[in-house]
Amino acid sequence: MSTRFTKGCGRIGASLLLAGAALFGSTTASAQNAVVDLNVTLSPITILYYFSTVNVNVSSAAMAGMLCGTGTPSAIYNTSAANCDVGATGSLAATGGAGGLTANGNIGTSPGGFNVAAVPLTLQNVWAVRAIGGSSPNTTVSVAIGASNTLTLNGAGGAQKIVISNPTVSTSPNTSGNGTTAVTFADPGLVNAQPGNVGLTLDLTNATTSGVYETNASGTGASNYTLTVSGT
Amino acid sequence: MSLSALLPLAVAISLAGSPGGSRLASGIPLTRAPLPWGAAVMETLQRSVQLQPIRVEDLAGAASVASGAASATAVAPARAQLAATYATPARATVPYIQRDLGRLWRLTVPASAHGPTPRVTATVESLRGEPGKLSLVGHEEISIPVLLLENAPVVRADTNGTTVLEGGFALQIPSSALERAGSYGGRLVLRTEGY
Repeated sequence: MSTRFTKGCGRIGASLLLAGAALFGSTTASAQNAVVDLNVTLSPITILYYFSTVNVNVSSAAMAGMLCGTGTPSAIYNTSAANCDVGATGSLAATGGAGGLTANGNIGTSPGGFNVAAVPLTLQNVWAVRAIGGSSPNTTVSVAIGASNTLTLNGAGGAQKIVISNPTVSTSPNTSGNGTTAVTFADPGLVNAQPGNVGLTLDLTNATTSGVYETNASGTGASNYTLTVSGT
Repeated sequence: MSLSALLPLAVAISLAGSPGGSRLASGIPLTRAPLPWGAAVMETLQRSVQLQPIRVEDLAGAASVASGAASATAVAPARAQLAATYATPARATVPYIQRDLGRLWRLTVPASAHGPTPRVTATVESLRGEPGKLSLVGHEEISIPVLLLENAPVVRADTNGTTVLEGGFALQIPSSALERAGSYGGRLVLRTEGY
């Protein structure tokens, strides 16, 4: 007991000595504080990201899928996506003749639900927005047809062409105005950009030859659609 | 010298506890003349710092950013429909915004001073006193973190033998913290060390 007491006293004595040195032992030690006010303004910010050129490769498989939908190819037609299973025909009445039996399936020559003059094309994730602040907590992106609505084969300006119409914008998840010319969504902030899509209607009536369809031979120049962002 | 600098200066001198301390009764020194009792003196060179606003140009260079050409192969998600999916054109923003606060402080060290080289450190406090943050004015519960970077001080010697150090800081604000537009405020608290 006495030993521990002695040690304890020694620690107390040392502490007092150090404190005394800090307070009185130096003629220059001191501390000075000063305060400066800081102010910075974060302005409303909206950033629209977009592709200046969008190339779409429409393969024969995509064309076949567009014509035939997603019906399961049957064994009869093999499994090629280029084949189009239009379902059961029902009973066919065979007729006989000298050459044998004939049964006419009367398969249609125009695919159901497909209008070659109005093929919807969705370009997904071709724009994105970061935004904070502004006159409202929302941001609106709108779309319009640009200076040129016609793509010609190899940009040559001939009869082979695709005509663009009815531009729309949309976002995911669905927000106000999806599928129209203007979509409005809550300001997404500056970290995660809000991605968006552009919808176009293609008139393929006069596109009967495969190849590259573009505004002009250089592949640049007049825009086909224009995006505008507002709400800041 | 601003008033905000004078007040802490008076406190600092009274704490010096030097034999010459009795001469403090004559008042706070109004010039940067060497102090006979050997204490260094800090003064602020700016009372308030209004930083350049943070604009879209700081984050992305422009309000609309073209990402060049993109290509994709269309699929038919359903009958009579085509769709092509692209990688997002959004680019990463700069990781942080940096603002130079300029020269903020001056430390005058008399020739008679000895000991470690004095230095000035600083911390940022929000309007609610939170360290390392600035508050959204009017909504002080909202704050953004900031990082203070020390600029190397400029040292020069006066003809009377005193050494004068002038220094400042830069402020870094992470872009990911910028969620609300508006005016942000706080305090920069400067402290002297090492003498």
